[in-house]
Amino acid sequence: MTGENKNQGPPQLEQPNQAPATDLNRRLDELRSERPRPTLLIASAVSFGALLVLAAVSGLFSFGAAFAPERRSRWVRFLEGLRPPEFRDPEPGAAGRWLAEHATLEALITVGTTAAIAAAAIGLAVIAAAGLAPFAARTLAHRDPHLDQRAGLMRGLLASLVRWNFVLLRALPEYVLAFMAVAIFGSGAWPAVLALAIHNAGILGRLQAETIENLPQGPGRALRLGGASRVQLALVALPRTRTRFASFAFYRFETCVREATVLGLLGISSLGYRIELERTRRFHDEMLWWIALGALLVLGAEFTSRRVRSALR
Amino acid sequence: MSERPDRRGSRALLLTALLIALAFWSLELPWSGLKPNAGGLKLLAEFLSSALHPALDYQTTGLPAGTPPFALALVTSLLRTLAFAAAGLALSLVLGLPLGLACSEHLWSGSTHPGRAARLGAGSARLIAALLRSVHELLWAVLFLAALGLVPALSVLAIAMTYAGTLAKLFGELLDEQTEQREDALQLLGATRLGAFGFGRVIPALPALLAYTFYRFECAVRSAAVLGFIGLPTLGLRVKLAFENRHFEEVWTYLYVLVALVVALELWSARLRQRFVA
Repeated sequence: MTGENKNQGPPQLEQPNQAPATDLNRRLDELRSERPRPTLLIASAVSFGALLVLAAVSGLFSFGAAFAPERRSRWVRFLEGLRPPEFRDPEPGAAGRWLAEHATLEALITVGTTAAIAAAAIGLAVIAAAGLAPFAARTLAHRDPHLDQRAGLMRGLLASLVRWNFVLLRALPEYVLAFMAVAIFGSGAWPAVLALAIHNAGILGRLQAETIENLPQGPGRALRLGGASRVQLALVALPRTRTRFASFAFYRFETCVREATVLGLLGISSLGYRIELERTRRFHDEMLWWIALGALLVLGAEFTSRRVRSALR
Repeated sequence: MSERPDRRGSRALLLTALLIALAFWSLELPWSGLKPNAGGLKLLAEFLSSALHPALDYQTTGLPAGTPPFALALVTSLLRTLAFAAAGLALSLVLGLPLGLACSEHLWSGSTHPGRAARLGAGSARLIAALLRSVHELLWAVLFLAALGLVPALSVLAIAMTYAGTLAKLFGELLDEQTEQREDALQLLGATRLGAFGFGRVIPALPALLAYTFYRFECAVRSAAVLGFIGLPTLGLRVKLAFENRHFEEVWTYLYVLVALVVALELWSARLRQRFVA
């Protein structure tokens, strides 16, 4: 994709006229073989195609069965059930009654709990990431901060250990972590907060380490030459990176809110708990109400986060 | 002058910190909640002590005849996880790409100044995308579960709904970020409005879109694994069942496989992005 322009202008024209055509051909072959080949892209596309074939064979695309005519009555019944009874035969004031019954303090508290779980988790993740990132950033952690970028045996080992730790922290989905945490800690808010914090510490840690590495080296170098210690340099990096770091944290807060909603399916008292409860009770209109509240919360978080991030920029 | 935005930033960060403290306070998270109860402690010890010897065979004895061997079952659920992710992502491309095109005001108005109709068209597409992604894929799946029971195709659709929303949003932003010049030049040369949009705006945006799609595949694999917890035959289901039966050695095998899968995909997609988005 990028290679075509690069190889266009070799000095072919300067070749003497009597040069055998084979020379030209050889040169062309050389150029052709130098052309970057998207092997990785082709391999990815082929494996993706193979997976799609596998998916089709195992019936993952058989929408025919799901939307077949004999299923139509079930869909109709389900969609009917999504509409609250108050709206089915409209009488004056029914909608108002419905709203008064649903927009309660309890609903507000559940929404608030969901947001609070996300906020608390991001708080912990930010602390962990800010604490660990200086150990992973090559510019700070390697042999001599800002001056000698070679890894060094022990320091290089420590830095890559911390970086791999970030990879492991974020490898498992929040939901899997929370599932195990619920079994261990019971179903308070801690399992959700811990699961979200662990996953996001891995993501934010890596991003913060990269941000530190991408800082201009000049100021740090000057401080180092003036006698600043490694710890002092790490502390100086914090205010220098804070806008970017905060922007990443707000971006992760958005996804945390989405996940916090869903973690309720595990019995944690967020919106998902209500959704699952109403599903098992087959009160589909109530279930839809809680899902809609979750969607509103997610959109609200997205809006806030976008405003804050554009203000920080 | 230069002091002011900085000070405003500090105040905003302080406010955020206060809000986070408020969140902690409102959740009533006692530090004692971090100490597992007696049962939890025993469970934790048992769980952690299994970490070093993941199972290489089922921990149950007396399995019904015809149970596939452990390794085969593991590979099957691994492949199923990947297949669910690929199917969900492919379907989300089908839904999300047209929606993403519609999210760009330039589809509606070309490179001229977007009029009210263009803003309305792009705005409603963005609203649809926002609604799609505001519901987590697991919740779409729960919704479909309530409608029709466990149908694999509907779970694929669940992944596709949320992912189509995110994809459309990003694609729309990518299209709007493209330079105006290509589209203008093509139109001056006599290209139709849609032709100029397609060749001057959509095609240059494709490499970045491709790179983002690779990244989303990694996310889709995680989502597919998690969908196992509501009963789909992916890795998540194996984790759930083994954990509930306290077969922790099996759990660790599944976790290690899942982690290895995710890390491998992360490395892969990082290399691809490096290669295509310079």
